[in-house]
Amino acid sequence: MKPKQNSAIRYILKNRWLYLLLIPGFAYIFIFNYIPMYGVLIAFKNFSFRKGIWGSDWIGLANFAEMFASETFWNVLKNSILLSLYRLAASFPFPILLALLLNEVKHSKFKKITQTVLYLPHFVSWVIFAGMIQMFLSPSEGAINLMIKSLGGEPIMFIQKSQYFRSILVISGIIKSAGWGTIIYLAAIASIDQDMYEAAIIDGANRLKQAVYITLPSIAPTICILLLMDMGRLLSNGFEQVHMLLNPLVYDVGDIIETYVYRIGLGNARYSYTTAVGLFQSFAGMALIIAANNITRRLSDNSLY
Amino acid sequence: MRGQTRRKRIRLNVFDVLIYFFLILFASITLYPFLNVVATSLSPMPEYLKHPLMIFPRDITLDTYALIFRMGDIWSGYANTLIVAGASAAISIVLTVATAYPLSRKNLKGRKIFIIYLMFTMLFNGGMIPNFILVRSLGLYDTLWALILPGCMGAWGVFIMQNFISATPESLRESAFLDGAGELRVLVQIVAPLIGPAIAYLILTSVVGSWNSYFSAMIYLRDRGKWPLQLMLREILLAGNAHMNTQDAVSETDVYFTFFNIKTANIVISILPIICVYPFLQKYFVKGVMVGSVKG
Repeated sequence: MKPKQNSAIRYILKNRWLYLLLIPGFAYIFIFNYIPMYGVLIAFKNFSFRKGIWGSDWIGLANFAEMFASETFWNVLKNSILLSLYRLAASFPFPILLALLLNEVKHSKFKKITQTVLYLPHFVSWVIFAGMIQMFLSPSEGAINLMIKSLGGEPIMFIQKSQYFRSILVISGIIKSAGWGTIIYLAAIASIDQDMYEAAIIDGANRLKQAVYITLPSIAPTICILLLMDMGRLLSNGFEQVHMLLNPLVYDVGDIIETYVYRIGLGNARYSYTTAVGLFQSFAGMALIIAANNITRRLSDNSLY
Repeated sequence: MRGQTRRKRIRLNVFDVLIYFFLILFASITLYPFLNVVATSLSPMPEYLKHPLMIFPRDITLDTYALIFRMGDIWSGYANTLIVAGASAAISIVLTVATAYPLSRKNLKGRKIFIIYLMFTMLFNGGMIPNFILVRSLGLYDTLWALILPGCMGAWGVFIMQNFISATPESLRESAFLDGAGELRVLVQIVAPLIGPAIAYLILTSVVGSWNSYFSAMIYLRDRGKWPLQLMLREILLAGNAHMNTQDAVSETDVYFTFFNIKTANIVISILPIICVYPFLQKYFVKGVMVGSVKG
């Protein structure tokens, strides 16, 4: 046993700089990632800042019981899933379509300018994006409603109407991220073997046929992986976009887990209850990601991690 | 032969027209709101009300901008954002490179456990409230550190960086070791210059992230003097559309300006730096996204 121990110590001493370099990053991850994981204990407690995480009183599953009995929670969960599904159905194809179109452009300057324009919204915050949406849709001075008024119609309060809210989220999401989403697909397209296209041209396939029968099947694995990754994020919609546009009149369709936890947890200081909600979201999210990864691994040799 | 090529070219052109049409359409939809915002910020309100969909300013005036310069809120926001973005990018890059370098050694003992330690943070997180409690317990509440430290380094960045480092030629490192250089020296003098694009990607992603986010500022900062740009902007943009009370700042001309001009001008001021810079830096982003996707 002794010589082996010695050799381990000698190995670590010999590579001491490598191990020392790991310490700051790992300490950081411990503090800012693992301590909050320990903090989820308060989902089973009645947390108070005075008593601290460990000192607060255990209350078992009472928070979870309250959560599952709450009508608001089920509505919020439904909203989160529905919004994700709408995004999957409506937004997911856009980057693929744009990448296919961009790939067909031979004029390199046009391609570059178009790409630069399409990437622009990625660099603009949701504060600004949502602010612009609100201005355009404003009932008094917004461009859309000024047009409606000039055509003799009644102004519509788009942001305050439940029937429009999800569409606003989905469409603004497409405009903001479809362009950026093309990068991965363009990379996949760039790695396709060019001989296949030459063979297809000899067989008389036009560019539409080439796109449908060569390009699309070749990037199918990438599409699959990204689709499954999105499915893994079914419960998380991101806080900032929804929060910027949300208002009490559209809570019935627009309130999602993130905004609910924020409003009830921090607004009403119900730390333990909303930690339980967050824990449910984390666990369900983890299960979805692991499931998605297993499916991906079974379908192809690739896996997400 | 000649007729054949000509026919071919014409047939290609039908596709081209459709392709160019759809791309121009989508690019226009993307660009239009920005042009309209710029035009509105430069035009007096009556002109905007007459031509709400304009993309070119009418009766160009810089009065709105002059007003904002006098109001000052947005500048303290700017200063705070610059501090947060700079500090958080610096800490992030040092921690990420230091962690990724040892992990790029495939034969490092314990590597598997280290990778799992990092990977688990991508699967599971404590969530909003435990993070909030952590920030308060560390005494970071209502300080800029609350925006700088949490989330500045993540497993994803480490894995991307590790991929880049693994791709640098082994022989360069080996010969440096033979010359008697230590690990730190190899990292700083041999490896770091070779992974420039990865470092650029991480720094830029971090800066864009700090520049654009408002969530942490909203939950961690009470003191208005510490607010970053986006939080200031949020307050300005979410304010009602009622005519703004600017009597202390402007004279009788304010009838011509409403909150609309103020809002659009603030938008322009806050995106200008990023708009000017990103077209020249986008290649680093694209490269980083691609390397990330190879791993993913």
